Amino acid sequence: MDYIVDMRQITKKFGSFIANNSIDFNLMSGETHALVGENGAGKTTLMRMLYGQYQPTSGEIYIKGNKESYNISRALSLGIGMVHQNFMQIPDMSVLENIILGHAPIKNSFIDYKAAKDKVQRLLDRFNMKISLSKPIGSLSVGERQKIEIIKTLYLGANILILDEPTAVLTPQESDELFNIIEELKAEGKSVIFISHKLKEVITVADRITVLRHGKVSANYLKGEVTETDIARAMIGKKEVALFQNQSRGKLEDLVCKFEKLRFIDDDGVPKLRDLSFDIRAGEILGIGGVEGNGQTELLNSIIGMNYLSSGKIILDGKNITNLSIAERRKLGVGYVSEDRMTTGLALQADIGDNVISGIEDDFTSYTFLNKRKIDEFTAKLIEDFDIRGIEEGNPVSNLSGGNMQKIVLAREISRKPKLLLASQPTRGLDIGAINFVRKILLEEKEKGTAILLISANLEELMSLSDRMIILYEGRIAGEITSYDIENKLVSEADIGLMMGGISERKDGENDTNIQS
Amino acid sequence: MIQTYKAKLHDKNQLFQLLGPVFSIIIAFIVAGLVVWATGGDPIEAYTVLAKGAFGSLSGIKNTIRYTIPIIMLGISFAICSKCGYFNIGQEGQMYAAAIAVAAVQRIFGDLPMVPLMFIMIIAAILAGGIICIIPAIFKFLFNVNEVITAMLINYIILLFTNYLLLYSPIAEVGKSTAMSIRISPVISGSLLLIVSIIIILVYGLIMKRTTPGYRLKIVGYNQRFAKASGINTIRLILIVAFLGGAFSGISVAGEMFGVYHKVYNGFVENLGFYGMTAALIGSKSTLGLVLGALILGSLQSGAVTLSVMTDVPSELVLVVQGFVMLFATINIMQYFTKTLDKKGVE
Repeated sequence: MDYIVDMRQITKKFGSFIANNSIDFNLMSGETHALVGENGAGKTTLMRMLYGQYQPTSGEIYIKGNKESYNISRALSLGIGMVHQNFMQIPDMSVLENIILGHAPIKNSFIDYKAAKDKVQRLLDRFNMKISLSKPIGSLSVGERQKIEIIKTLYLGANILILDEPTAVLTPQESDELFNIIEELKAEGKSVIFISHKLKEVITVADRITVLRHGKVSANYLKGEVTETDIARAMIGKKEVALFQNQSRGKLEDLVCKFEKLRFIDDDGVPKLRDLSFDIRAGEILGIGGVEGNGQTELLNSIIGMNYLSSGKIILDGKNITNLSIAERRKLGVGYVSEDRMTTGLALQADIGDNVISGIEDDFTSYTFLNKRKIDEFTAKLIEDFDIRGIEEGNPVSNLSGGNMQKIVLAREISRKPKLLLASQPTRGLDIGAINFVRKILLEEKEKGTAILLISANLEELMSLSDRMIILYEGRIAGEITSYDIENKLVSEADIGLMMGGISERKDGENDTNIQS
Repeated sequence: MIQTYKAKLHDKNQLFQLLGPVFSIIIAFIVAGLVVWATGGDPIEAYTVLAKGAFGSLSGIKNTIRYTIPIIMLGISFAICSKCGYFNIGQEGQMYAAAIAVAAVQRIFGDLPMVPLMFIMIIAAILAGGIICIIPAIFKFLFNVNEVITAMLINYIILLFTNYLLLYSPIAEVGKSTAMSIRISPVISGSLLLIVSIIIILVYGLIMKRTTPGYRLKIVGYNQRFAKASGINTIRLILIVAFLGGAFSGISVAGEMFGVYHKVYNGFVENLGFYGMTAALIGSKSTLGLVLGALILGSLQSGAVTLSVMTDVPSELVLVVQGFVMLFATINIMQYFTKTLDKKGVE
């Protein structure tokens, strides 16, 4: 068979660590080949070798039948383009400038913008994209920016596209659009390598699926002959994969926190929260759904105290905490698992000890000096309780995997015995094993009587964990889903999708579809 | 087995980090030596004379200490601010402000006995330096202006304002309009000053490494958003630290005035701020490094005098060496090596 890419017996070692162990991977023209695996399984390493960023320790790469050994710039001329997970874009430059950056057509030693524009516009038209080329790229939505990245690789003449977790930051609708684009690319005879750990997508999109585990190929599948469970098993190498589910919905316990008419107007004068009122009880997981940017971040920041409300009241355990500082709120029992563990969740250059005592460092002193033994004992206990792996004493936590970083964040917050735990996107970017661990921890906390406010973009997660859900749209509640509805599956994902779009269908019959802007 | 190997690698990194500043300094000397050699001088002779001048005699050593102490204070002034991510480049302005404050105290409370007078002067110097240093921080939080720009501009304002005061103000001395002098003569011995300085350094090092304020500073420096989210009042902390940074500039100038100059004149502490910054950069990982850096810069200054007397090499060589030390301390070559050792390619 004719492979456009044929990687044979690829091995890549970093020191004594084997990231890729004799991997065979190939790609035919006009096919979508999905590469699946947990974080650290070696997907990105393999692709970086294909993209010329790394050189294999041993093994051979054949492109269109010729044996090649190359670096990144040569990879481009071989027609290999990669769309990175973190876009390589300059926000203040226009869309056009970003696309032609470094490869602009030159006429009379000046950039030929007209030719560039024509060429890019043709590409956009071909994929039915309506994006203004003169806008600064930073003003586009994440989905649009991703499309631009794809256009860029096509502009550079790529016919082998590597998409590194392209849907990680997209809404379901945006993902669908991306899949359409992939179909069109295929129709044109381009080949796509699709890296992901969202199994559902993989099954829909890919013609072939290769599963990596611990740097080795653990399974190969063809389209249509595999289920999500098969892939999941191949990924984590266990027989049973059942994600934890909330098993005790609908218990009514004491009120923990009451939110009254929360209103927040941002620096540009845009109201982000519009008279939002709800409450949360002990032992309850309240799921907050909605498309990102509909007030979730502002809500969270207002509760933890990162910003102050324009009006409204937050009453925790009968105490008005609306105007308290972050430290005071934390002392009263607010815990916070940030959506962004890299910036708000952890100090990456600090070691685990420094990370877990932050905010309660005064408890670890004896005679005004920090007591290293106390800190070490505390840290060791958390490492054991939360099964945090890969810790080397005194080393920065930035060396750890995403799952272990998140465990540190959870360990810190939960060790402080919060009454109200704010968990924002707690499983984002984690592999199945870590996701399940986080779920388990949250459910255990619920059993202990902690009120948990769970914000997630993942509907499946919200549905399986929440006792009750509210859907936000433009800073308001666009829909409320009771535990009874969840338990008896009375709402479908489509219903929720409508609510996320601002079309409210409350069970009490009170519809308010016309939300003013 | 793997664990022990990793531990070893880790130790090696730490060793590199400790040796880093020494390495920067050595390279600076070699490069500056090449410059001397290229201009027809004998670098080895020049360095020998420099070393002899700085450490060869009791007076030389005293001189070296005299130059080193203010650099240490200024180093702390820079280091404490940079620990929490605040770039204190306005030390010269802070020093002039403190000097003016000391001179003003002399004018107003000049009749007081020596000890209380000195005490008030030190307080005034601390307040003046601190307030000047806190202004850019306030601007940063209120208007989101970069503190470096504000501090640089404030430096000019203060420098020119000092000139104006020296010429026209009531605290200037009629007849001797280029200087403001103070009555204080060194009543404290050099060794006492040395001991006080050592105590300050030790306390500073201890606070930074082993106490909660030091811990908070470190965390704010690592990641301000994280610090804020964990409940540390970052704005208050940075304002306090900015004040302390300015206070150390003030202390250094008070020492200079009490012990050496006994007056303020135009340009009397020129470049000192940069030496302090260099020392702090050399010692970015440890307080010991800071002291070492200050000692090198101080000894260069004290050796400079003998250099021009004993050899044909102009004393400006010292400036060249200082420049290179500054350059290489900023680059921190060793960091590059440790980074490559550290690198992990696994995703």
